Amino acid sequence: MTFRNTSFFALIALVLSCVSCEQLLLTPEYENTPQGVFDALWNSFDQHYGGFMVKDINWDSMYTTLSKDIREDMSGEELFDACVSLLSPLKDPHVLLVPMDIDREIWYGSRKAKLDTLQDFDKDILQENYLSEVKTTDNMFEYGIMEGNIGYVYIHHFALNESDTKKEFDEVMEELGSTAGLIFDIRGGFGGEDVSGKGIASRFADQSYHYMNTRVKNGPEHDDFTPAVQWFVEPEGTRYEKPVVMLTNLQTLSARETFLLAMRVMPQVTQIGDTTAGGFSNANPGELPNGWGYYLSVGEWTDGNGISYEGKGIAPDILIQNRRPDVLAGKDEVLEKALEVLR
Amino acid sequence: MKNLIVVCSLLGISMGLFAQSPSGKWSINMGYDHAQINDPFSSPLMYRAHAIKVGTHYQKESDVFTSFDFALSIGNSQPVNIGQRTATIIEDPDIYGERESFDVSVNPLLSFVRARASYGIGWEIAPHHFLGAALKAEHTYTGIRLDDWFYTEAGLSAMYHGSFDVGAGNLDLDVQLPLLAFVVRPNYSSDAYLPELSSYYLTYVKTAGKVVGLHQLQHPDIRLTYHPSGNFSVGYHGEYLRYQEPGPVRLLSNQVFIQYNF
Repeated sequence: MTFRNTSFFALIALVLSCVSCEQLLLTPEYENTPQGVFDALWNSFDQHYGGFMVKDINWDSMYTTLSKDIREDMSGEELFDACVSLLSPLKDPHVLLVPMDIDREIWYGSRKAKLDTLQDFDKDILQENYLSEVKTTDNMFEYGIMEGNIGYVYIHHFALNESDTKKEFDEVMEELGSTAGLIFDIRGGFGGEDVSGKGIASRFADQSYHYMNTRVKNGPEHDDFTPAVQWFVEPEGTRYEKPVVMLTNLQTLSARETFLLAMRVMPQVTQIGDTTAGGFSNANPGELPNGWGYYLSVGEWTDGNGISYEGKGIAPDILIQNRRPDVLAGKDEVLEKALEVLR
Repeated sequence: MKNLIVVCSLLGISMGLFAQSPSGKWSINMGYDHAQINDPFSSPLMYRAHAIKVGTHYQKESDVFTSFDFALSIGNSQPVNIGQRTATIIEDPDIYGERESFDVSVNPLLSFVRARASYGIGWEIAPHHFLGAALKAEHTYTGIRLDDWFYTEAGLSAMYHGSFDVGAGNLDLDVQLPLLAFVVRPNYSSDAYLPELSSYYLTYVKTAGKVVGLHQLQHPDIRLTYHPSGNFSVGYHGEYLRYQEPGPVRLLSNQVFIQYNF
């Protein structure tokens, strides 16, 4: 056999080995069995969940206790319920479990899960009764002027980056800049990027305020974190100097809460309504060997003084809870209290 | 759209640079890319992509061998053992107690994109056998764990090119092995959390981009092209990737293609 032929056949053998050795090169870590699914979920939270340091939970004991109930012949619904039992003590609104192909709905790990409806808030009903004209920006804001020259801004989400948020909010303030007071309504709706709320808050600051610290997991141990990053609100753009009220409820979650952290450090800001949801950290999705999905919080978010509100929420300065019949009748006691404070 | 412009520009540049060269030859190719990704740090599920591969290739062989290769794979990626996942999301009840629902599909039709470009130069060590170096860049973007997943690598590789007479035609063998590369992967928490966040990707470049050597990154790349007489060639391109940050990542890609030589 010549050198050329030897080399050629060696090459063909190499190619065939590349094609056929995928099992050797790419070995899955967990099996798609009830035990494999439960173990994958426990391990993923063990290594990636960022809230263990601020929550009094013995994660190892949780495994020891609950894994006894895992059987190879259990149904998907039984397995889902066992996974919910594992995650429930975290009391984390960013934790959720997404089933596939079983008779269960998405499970949310928050107080929100205990509400059978959005009982205390409906933006459309309320705006019809309190605003003569509602204007909207391209993405984030609905706004108008209420009786007594009070500005009202509802924030749909915080999905824009900081510079786009500032640009869009400046459009709002062109019309509301001369009002006697301003209401931010951050009840319900979606979260988004923390930098977006930081951008809005910069239009209210008279000085630099240290309002938040964040750190995320960088290793498998419960106390493996990146160095804390300090977040500041810096005065920027045209400042709004009049009093501001933040309206909150149990659905005020995530970037809505970090926006509240940025605003509440300023002396002209008052929070009215209900306690917020208590889920500040960024959260990421994951998946299990059977295809189910989940979300977990990846870090520790505190206010500028190092106080964590994870799982607790931020209590308002003035506690007012709407009742569902009132809201259906078009009455918003939380909003009316805000108007009273600002007048 | 921005990505498409970049791709078209790269194709244009490659053809423009080398098409005028009298002794070089350039070609276009099209084929099938079967890629498998196992990233247990992100997901316990192994993913398999079926993709269409298109590309262009240039090579010039004299005392010095030079080559340029660009390839783009676009297709669909799903977990091997589960396949396409769909679900109906039922929203919380509104104040009237009514609930809305909507259907979602995980990794719909186009969910796998991989672009690679390399420029190599080699010096003859024996007739039709060359050893040298290549600059290579590669970006893979797909969906894993119900979220974006990416791998970016740019660096310097050792390169070998050999040409063998086989039957009436000849077989080209090209091998590249990265020696030093800048790799971008998500950080451990897969989270962009910085207060000066402008884009997730740039944050990952800042917080998790690393210069690595052969002991941290093993990424052999083998390309075999058989040229019978005529303008058409057939080929195989195989890659195996092994990288450890932020957790073990494995990628195995097997591609077959038909090439038209100008």
